[in-house]
Amino acid sequence: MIFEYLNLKKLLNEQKYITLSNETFVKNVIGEKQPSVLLFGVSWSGNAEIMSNMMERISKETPKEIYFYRVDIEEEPSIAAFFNIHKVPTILIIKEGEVLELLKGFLPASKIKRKISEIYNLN
Amino acid sequence: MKKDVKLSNPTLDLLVKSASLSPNGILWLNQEGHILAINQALASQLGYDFSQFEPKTIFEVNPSTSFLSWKKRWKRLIEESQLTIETEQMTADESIYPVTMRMMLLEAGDQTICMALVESIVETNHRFKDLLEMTAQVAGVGAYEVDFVKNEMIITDEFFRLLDIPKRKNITIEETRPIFRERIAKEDFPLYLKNYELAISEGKPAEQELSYLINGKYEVFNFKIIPIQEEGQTVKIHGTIQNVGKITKRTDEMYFTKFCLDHAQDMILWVDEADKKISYVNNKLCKTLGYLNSELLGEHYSILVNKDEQTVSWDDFDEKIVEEGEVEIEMNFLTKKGKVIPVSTSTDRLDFRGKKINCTFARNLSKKKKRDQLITMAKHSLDQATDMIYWLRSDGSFRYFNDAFAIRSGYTRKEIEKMNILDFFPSITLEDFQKSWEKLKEGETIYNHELEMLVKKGKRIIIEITVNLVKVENKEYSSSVLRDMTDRIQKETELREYLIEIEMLKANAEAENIMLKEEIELESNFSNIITRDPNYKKVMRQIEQVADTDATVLILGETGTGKELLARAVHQLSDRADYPMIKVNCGALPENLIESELFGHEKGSFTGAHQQKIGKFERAEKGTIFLDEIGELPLDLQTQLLRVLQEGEIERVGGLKTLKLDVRVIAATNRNLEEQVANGKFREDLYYRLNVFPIYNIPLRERREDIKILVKHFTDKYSKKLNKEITEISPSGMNKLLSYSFPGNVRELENIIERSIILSKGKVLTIDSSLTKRGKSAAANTKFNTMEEMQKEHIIEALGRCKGKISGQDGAAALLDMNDKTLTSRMKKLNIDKRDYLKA
Repeated sequence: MIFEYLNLKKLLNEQKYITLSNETFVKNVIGEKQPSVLLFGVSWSGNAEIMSNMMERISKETPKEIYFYRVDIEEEPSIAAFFNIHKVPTILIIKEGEVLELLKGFLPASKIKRKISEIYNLN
Repeated sequence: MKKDVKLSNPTLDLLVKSASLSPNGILWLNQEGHILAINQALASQLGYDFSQFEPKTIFEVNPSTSFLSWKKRWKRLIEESQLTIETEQMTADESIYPVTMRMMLLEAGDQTICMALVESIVETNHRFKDLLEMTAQVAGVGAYEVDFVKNEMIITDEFFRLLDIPKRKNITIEETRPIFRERIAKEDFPLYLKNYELAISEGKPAEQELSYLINGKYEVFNFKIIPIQEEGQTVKIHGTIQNVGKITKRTDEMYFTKFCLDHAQDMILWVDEADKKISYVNNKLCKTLGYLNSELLGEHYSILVNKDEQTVSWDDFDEKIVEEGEVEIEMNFLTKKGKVIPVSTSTDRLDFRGKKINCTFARNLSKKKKRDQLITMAKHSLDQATDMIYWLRSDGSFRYFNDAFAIRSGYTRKEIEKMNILDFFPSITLEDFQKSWEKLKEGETIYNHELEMLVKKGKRIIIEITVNLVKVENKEYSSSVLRDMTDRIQKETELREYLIEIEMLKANAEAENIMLKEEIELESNFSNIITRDPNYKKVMRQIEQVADTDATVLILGETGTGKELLARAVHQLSDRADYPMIKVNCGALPENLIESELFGHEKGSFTGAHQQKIGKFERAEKGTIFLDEIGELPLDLQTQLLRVLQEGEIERVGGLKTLKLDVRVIAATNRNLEEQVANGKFREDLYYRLNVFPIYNIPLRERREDIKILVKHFTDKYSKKLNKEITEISPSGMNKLLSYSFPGNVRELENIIERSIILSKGKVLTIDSSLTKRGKSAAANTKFNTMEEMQKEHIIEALGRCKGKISGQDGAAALLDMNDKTLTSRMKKLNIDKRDYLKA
């Protein structure tokens, strides 16, 4: 088996909202049965920073089964390229490699929470 | 013989003569106890020659009689005229034996004399003893008495005869033990001993039938033990033995029958049909239900059954047993402690000595029920399992398979039962199968993580299989657990493809990294906060915190710091984002227009009011109103604004109606409002109303790390806008910007870049010195030190003065009025090198 399932949950118990790198991405996001929420940003975007703060807050309010990741598209251009993301901030909700929702720009927390709960209820 | 005592008496003579014929001993006595005469029989009773009878008084013949007691006896004789007493008589050889003495007073001449008829009790006993012995012989009963006080044993002749022990006069308890141990049958001896011990220790009587060896053959004896207690101590044991009969085939059979009954698997119960009383129970029943045999015999059978809980109708039961002679049902027994024990019973009706007996065999179902339950549970689990499970015989046929296997294989259960395992695994030959069977027999576990299995309609699935050998009642089966790996393998393949794609993209991206970076766009064109300076992080955290709360926000900060940008961010992140944010620049409006601008006016409300105007507040309904330069708002309008904030209501100028509004307020100012409040230029109550959540937008000089990135951002923005192709900034230009204090903040920087782009020729952006020399004083023209730089210089100077000494009274820390540790860490943070201050 090529993919060794990293025990991500253990990692997430300590820190639910984690910065995603290229390697952890394939292992844990694409292969994960549970939905993952990805925030794409860059280090110099204040808007992305604000959204990141917001996602951190949301991650604490949503069920444990949903994992939150932050992707710096300058640091991890291949992940951005994989999803064809060029603008930040952008939020993707994906499950087993499939994009369930794409949310662009500055958005109120309530809107993001609603999308997440819609998707969560579908599961 | 007539004793020649004192007197001659013709009456006495006559009496003595006539008494010579009597077989009973008779003696005549006077008031003083003198023997007047005796007859022949008495003399021989006492072992004397009649002619030579020696005793002269009753006291010699009758040693227990004293003179005084004789006097009393005489007195009673006078009163009662006749008397019978039991006393003892002493013979010539001085042995004493018990006698009955019947006495009467007679008038013989002038004398009152006593005639006593003496009957030997021993004589009577002898006859009784003879009778007993005869009875014992006929009945075959032997008896003994053990006296623990005297440590003596009395044994009847019959006892010796029956038990075939040579007759001995004085036999001790100890001597009988080895005889009994040897001759009582092994199976009976422990109980015999136990009974004996119980009789001694607790005074319990016992009865036991045991086999006893007589002439090399066992005969059955009934042993009875009757202890006699005094003051809680067993002092004597009376025992009898009786020969019940020689052991015949029949008695053997009975013994075996009894043994079998007591050791039977089933509980056996006899109930008399007439009175429903228990007449027999076997050991098994007593043990299972916790009763003693004696506690049940004679009891009504209902003691054993839980009548209330029964599903059994007892009337039906009675009817059926009479009609059919047997009944088989399941019911519940009750133990002595009240525990319910499910049993399956079979009852027969039999005639026994004129009685109808219901003989019930009951089997305890508790264990069976538990086992049944476990089996059901196990079967259910197996069938519910997602893994396929089957058991094979050594020929490859199926002994068992679960639902998962049946479903996944696509065949019906009947079809599978006729199939062989090789039908499912075309890649496995019969030889392979046999080989692996041998391996299994050696205790190996066979595991294959990827095996192709053929299911119905020629479909192939990939399975993971684990096989073990299982032995059940000497038969061997292979037990296999299969997991369908098709999905997993498919997913793995997909993931593998993803990884390849990602790796390719990664390679591409690395090559095109720079290009890609340039392609990164910001989602919003007009409200982008560009920052990476850690000092600015607090501001962004505040925005995120307050955005979706609906609270009034007051943004403070110098001009050009981008207060509107923050206001927009708050609005966009709030639930009002779908409604507009209306901006009002309170400083830019003519004073006379501000009111109608904010609250609107009705047609004709003032000169020039040709039509109705909707105010900014109304337009911001459900959205946000951004009151920029709030510090410039005239006082009278501050009052009106306060009302709006407090009541959530406005009135159009010239209007009569009050309008209820749902508007969020964000206000901003570059003024020091507190100061304005102090100067009376700003209403204090409005200030507090607005100052719910203040955000201080820091000036650019306090976030210098952002200068570079802002330069890049504005260069991108304006070169695009102005259609210029600028890819670089001259290093000197960048240095100028980095050392400039930006009193006009980001807006100033933006203007500088815009102007520089216009002025730039070619691909390199240059910054004209004149652009960064604007300032309030001449000092601004030279390099203006930052706080950190000032601190660094100051600390270096202090260290120089103290010759590099940090701590102590003459150290730099003391000079700077700082803690030693704080100074050291500050030096580290400011990168102060030893050379710096030693040089100074």
